[in-house]
Amino acid sequence: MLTLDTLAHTYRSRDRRRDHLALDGVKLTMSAGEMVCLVGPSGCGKTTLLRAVAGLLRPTGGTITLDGQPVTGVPDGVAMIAQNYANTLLPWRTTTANIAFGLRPQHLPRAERRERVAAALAAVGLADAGHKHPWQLSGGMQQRVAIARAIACRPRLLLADEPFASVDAQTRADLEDLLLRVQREHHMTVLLVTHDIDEAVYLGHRVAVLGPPPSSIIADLPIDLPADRDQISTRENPQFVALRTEVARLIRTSGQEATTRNAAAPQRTGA
Amino acid sequence: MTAAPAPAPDTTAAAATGPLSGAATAVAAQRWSRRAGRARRATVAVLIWVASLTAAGAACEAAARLAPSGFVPPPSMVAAWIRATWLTGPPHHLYLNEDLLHHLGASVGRMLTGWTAAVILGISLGILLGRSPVARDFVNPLVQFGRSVPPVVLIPVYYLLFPDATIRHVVLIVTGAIWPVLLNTITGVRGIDPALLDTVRVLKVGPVRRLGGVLLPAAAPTILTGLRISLAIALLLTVVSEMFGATEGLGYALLDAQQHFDTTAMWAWIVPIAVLGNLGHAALNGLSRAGLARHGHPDPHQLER
Amino acid sequence: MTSHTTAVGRPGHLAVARLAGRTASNPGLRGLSGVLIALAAWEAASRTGLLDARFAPPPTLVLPRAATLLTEPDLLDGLWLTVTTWLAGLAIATAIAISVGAVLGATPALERAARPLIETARPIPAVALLPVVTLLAGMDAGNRTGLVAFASSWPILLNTIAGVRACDPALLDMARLHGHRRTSILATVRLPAAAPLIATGLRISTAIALIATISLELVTGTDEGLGGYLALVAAGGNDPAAALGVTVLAGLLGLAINSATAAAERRVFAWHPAHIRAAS
Repeated sequence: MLTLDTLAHTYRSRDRRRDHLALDGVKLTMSAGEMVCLVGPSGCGKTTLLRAVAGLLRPTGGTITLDGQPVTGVPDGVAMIAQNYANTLLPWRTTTANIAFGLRPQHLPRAERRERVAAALAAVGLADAGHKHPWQLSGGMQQRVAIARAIACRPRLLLADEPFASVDAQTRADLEDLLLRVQREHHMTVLLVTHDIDEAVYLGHRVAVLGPPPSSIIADLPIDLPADRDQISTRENPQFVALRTEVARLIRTSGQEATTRNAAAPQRTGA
Repeated sequence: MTAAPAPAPDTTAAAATGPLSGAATAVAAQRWSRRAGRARRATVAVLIWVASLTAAGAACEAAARLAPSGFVPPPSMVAAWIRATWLTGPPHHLYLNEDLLHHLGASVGRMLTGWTAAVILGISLGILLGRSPVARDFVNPLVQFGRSVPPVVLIPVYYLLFPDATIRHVVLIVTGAIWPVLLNTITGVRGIDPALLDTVRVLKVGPVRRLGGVLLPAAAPTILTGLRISLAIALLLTVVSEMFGATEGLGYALLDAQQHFDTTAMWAWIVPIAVLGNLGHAALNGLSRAGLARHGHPDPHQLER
Repeated sequence: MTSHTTAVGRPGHLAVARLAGRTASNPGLRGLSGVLIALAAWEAASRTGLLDARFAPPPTLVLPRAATLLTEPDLLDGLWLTVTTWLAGLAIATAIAISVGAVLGATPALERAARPLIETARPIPAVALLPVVTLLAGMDAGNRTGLVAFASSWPILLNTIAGVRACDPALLDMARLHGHRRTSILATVRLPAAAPLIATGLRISTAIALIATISLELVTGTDEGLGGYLALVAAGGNDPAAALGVTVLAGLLGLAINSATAAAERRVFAWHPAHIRAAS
């Protein structure tokens, strides 16, 4: 359903010496209904990749194909939740109005719009917070509103950019389970980016490892754990431990390779 | 602007002196290309300014010629009048003649005197009030009332109270120009991080150093915004004040031209007023950018607060 | 809000602290005492001749006169005309400045081209244009309204441009992703996000518009409006308390307007972080 073919992106700077090659030769395919988690160290271009898939950024090389159509500009049916959830909610609108804002361009009849908003709110457990403003909600609740807004649109692809990095551990566990439940219920295709290896293995059907810049997919592991995940029992499952160790090792070795590569060629400008 | 040219990579020299000098020349080359980039951008900005103003001037010229009216002469006519009437002076006076310099000097003198007095008073009082919530409580209703009185309303009263023209003008300017400085200083001082003030107290920093080294720099951006607004008000009040019983100054000259039905002269006299306004604005902007950058503040917005 | 009391032993602060203690740390009471002390000082200055009592009578004469002024139909007519001119000019300025500012803020290329014109025209005091407009079309309330609009549009324009430009890119990305078009984004995201800044500009413009209205009335030698009334009273010369009384009334008018706009700002923008911080 989603294909990234030798995706590359260079951030150009005013003088050519400081161009930054963020992505180089990224290959990834996703089928409908899959949850793929992308892990990698900080600064490895994960956000660049997501923005390119969302059409918010024009990559300098390679192609992105969504349901057979190349992505040029913002495609229909793509939703995104990000780490800075507070910044993506319109502060002057209530929760209900915020979710409705995401639905407006679809020009649905009013009754159906209202229904979807209510269903989305219920799905994230905020059925009685509809009239509140974002500043009246906690961080975790704000992120739930962002998730509700995303799922109300019934997107064919949901992009998640480190969505739970800014909440505390307990809220994080709750939100992970929420996302899991929503994805399984609606068979949503989800591409989630995170730096937390445990989260990636816990949530995903597959885990793809992104190397340090110039980044490419250095490994693609299927996660053969039972579909029903649980915060406690799944995480003590020996297979879970083996998988996350494997991912961690992959990240570390790729990091070490990159360091030796950079040391050998000091004139190449980095980030 | 001297620039170090980007050196061609000289492998033998690099090999002889080692990798460090190679890195040094790379840094120098980067700095040069960055300066060149900045210079390029500055030139483009200036070109846009010139193009924009020229286009506007041309549009006015065309409009004035297509729909001639005695009251709105084309800019070229005004420019000709200016050249004939004002640009007749000696080179050491920038070719400006006595008459213009006389009125200009009078206005600038009053404006700067009044503005400076307002600034000194405003900042001093502002610091005192900013530091003392109790004093603020006492003084707040008075300040709120004082700033709400349009200074122009006091012109008739001042006319009688201060028969000396210069004093009258300056007092009026101070009356109007002090409020933005005062209010912004109070806000600026109040907004200083209490942790900073505590640190200063613990370190037993003397009052003078505390004032100059901590309080003023920390409150500087807010105060500078106040200074900008205050200067604009000072100019406005100077011009207005000179329309009442003055015998010299830009406002007087403007009114005089009107009473002689000399429309070209009227439009011409607007030019020095506009220039003064722009100069003051630019001077303060430049000052704030230079001063604030040195103290680590980001470039201030073009906002009114 | 905790106050930072400075160390004991500094004489100035001791005196203030004593007075503060006496007014039982009630800001309202302190404010009132401040006003009373100022009035007493004015009274003394006037009676002792520090201020020429012919031109600056003491408050015991001015304040009652100000009250009686409010019963005079001429003053009330003038007040009405001033207020309507002021409001009309402000409304025109707001409509034009917000529309132009929104478009400029959202279109960087246009803004760069227009900025030189804005920066050059903005420092020109409206009063400088007064003689020209007087000759052009005579000075009636309509023309005054126009000049008031010119003078007061700048803060709104500048703040609108800045506010629209500074919209959080995260909001813009989110809106684009959901399929909103540029005009929709301008109206439903950028402008509301810029609203607090625009409101600040509006507050400043409100004050400028009032000053401009009264100044124009005063300077044109008309007998219309509050300024015109003041000119008449001053020219008559036999009612000095009235001249200062008009000043007091004008100040109170301005004060009422400032307080009202500040309070409205606080209510409407309760959702803005600055107000939340202030309230907490």
